[in-house]
Amino acid sequence: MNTTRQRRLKKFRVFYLMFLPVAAYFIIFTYYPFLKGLIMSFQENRLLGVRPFCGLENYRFVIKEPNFLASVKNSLIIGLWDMGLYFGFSLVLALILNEVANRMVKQSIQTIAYLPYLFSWAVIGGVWALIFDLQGLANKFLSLFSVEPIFFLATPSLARPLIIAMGVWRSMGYFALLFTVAIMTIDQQLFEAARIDGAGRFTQITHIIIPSLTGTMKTIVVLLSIGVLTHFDEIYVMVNPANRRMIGTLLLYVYETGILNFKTGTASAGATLVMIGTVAITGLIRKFTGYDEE
Amino acid sequence: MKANRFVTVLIVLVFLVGGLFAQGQVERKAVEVKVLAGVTGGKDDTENALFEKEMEKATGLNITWEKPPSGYDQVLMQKLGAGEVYDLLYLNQFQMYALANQGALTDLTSRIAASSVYSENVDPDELAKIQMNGKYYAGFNKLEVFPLVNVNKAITDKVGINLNTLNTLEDYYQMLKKVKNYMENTVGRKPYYPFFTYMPDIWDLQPWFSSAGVRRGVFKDASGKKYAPFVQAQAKPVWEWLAKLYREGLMDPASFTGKTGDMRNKMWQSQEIVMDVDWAAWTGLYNNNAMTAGTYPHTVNVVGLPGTKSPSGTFMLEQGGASLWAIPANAKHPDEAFKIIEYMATKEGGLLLSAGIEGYDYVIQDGKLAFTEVGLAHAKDHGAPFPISTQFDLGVLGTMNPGVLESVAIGKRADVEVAPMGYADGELDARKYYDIMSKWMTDCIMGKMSADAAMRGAENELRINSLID
Repeated sequence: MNTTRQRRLKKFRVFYLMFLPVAAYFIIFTYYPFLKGLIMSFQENRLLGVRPFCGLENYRFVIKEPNFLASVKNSLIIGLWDMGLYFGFSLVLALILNEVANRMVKQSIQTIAYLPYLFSWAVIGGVWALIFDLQGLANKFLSLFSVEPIFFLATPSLARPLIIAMGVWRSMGYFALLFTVAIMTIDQQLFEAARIDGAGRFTQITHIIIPSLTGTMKTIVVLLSIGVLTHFDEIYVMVNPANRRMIGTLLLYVYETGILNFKTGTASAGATLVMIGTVAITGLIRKFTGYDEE
Repeated sequence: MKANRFVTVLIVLVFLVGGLFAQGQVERKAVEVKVLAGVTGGKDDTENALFEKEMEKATGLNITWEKPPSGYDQVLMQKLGAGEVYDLLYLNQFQMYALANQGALTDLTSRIAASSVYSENVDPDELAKIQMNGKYYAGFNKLEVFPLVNVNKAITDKVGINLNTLNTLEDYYQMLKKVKNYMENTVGRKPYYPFFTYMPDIWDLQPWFSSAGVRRGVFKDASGKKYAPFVQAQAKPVWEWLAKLYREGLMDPASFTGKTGDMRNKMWQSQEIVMDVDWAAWTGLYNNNAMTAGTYPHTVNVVGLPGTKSPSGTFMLEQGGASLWAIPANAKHPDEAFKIIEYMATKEGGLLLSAGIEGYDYVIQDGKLAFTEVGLAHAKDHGAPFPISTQFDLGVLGTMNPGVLESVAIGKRADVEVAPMGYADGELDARKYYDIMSKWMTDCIMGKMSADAAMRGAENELRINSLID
């Protein structure tokens, strides 16, 4: 057995050597900080010096915090809506783009849809503030129909839809691009055969394109599920006293309660809970979509 | 033989030179003081290197002056959390409390008590403000000023308002109404919201709560019980007054969603507001900006006002949280670090932290400071626009921005009380306090709930979070 292993090790030694830098990168920059964070979550809040272990105290503190449950609720609502809408809109956009015959028009739409993904959240936040400010473009447009100005940015009932829409607007183009690439790889003979059999475009979409995209869909859904509980940047740029109740998410809670107060233990416990939640959601999604099935 | 002798001499020389070099290194290391600085230092890498040299020249120490270009709080947390060791840290007052509570800072009480520099340069009243349970964990970076009411007199003059007669909430309400009416109906700028207050940290409200005789933050009574005056019954009329301003279009809705930068631009650049509450230094900066834009004083002429009179007849203003220098508990060179703290409290240190570096920010001409183009761009601020030293004469900085000295002078009036917010002996989680208060009281001001209900809601949440008893 050992000889077989040794022989294989020797045979693939070049590949193992090539893998070493990658392994080192992940150990140093991912697993070590993760492990350190995990240990810190069981230690007292001390930025300097020795940190005595305090058992589950930090977890108890976080879970008992009145704002924690509200943050979980906000994170789930925003995250799940985002996941569904990112997926749906980007798929529809990719299917529409596939139907555009003019290459230039197609590429222009693709670029325009993809462009917001290149902007930082701070820029996106600024753009949305300009649009939805009380004296912004949206209200100027509504005034054309004699509609009273709406204070979009400070109306609690509009806070979540705005944040979700902002995310969809930013990321739709990116996921649509992934779908488009997958559509391009579908065997053209299938379409030809369908056409000979008298299938129209809609039938081709529902019977060829969508079934062919199953693998890509599963991957995108799993990727999106990883982000359900990790919304922070867009919240940070858009939060204000009027909408805080509706959009204060878990990572904002971790940032404000832990990091701003130098409470390393509390912040690590909060972050670990986010990670456990993410693993659970991703696991469920993988099972639900049959991601791991052959 | 000759060769042997040559080799012997060579070996001796190598050891001698190596030894000297090593000794030099040891000596250099012994005095190398590592500083992590927030706002204090050079404005860019080039100037920061010059600042470091100036600091070294003044203290005789070998200093590494590390100043992150942005995101100081995160950098501080990351560096300390990662185990990096510093001798001196720039902190705000809350950070000092948080780290001192964790035992992460060196107790400086005996050093400060024994320091002749501190006794000769630092006002004991200022010193008392940074005490924590009778101890000192930091020294000063600068003298903190205070926010006060800033009004664009160029507009109020046109409306015919005498600013000296404004003492009550009703006076200010009437003034804002007249300005709104004038701007909307005579000037034709509709809608015009004359007043901006930055709500996210309920930061700018003290001049109004003075009318109720209460202060922001959490205090401890004689029995040690923690209470928040802003949610007590006497504060209610002020919240109702703010709600009335919003309801009647006198308060800019951007107060809830905008940033301080928006407020400032609206004040001097576009004159979209006529009144805000901002730092005393900003009275001058508004006018200075307007002067550059050619709108001072006919369109923009900002003056500072003390706000509203308290029931006891004084004007209660809030002093800004201190910016401080602390020595971490694991510092390698605490004595040398304290030398830097002392230097920053001298008038010479004050000059470096305000005017900047001689030969770069300014030159001496006929015994007076003449600012270079770079120095003018740096606006006499390298971390301390108002140095802490009582011996520092602001006059050496030349002509101040219009209106700033008058605003600063308001704080020295006998009928004005400038005091810090309530820190509950360093126990207050300020971020949480701000969030809870601004959330509930925004609902009150926007008319979503009554002042009573909002104050009760805020009080309950403060209590659940153990911020008050």
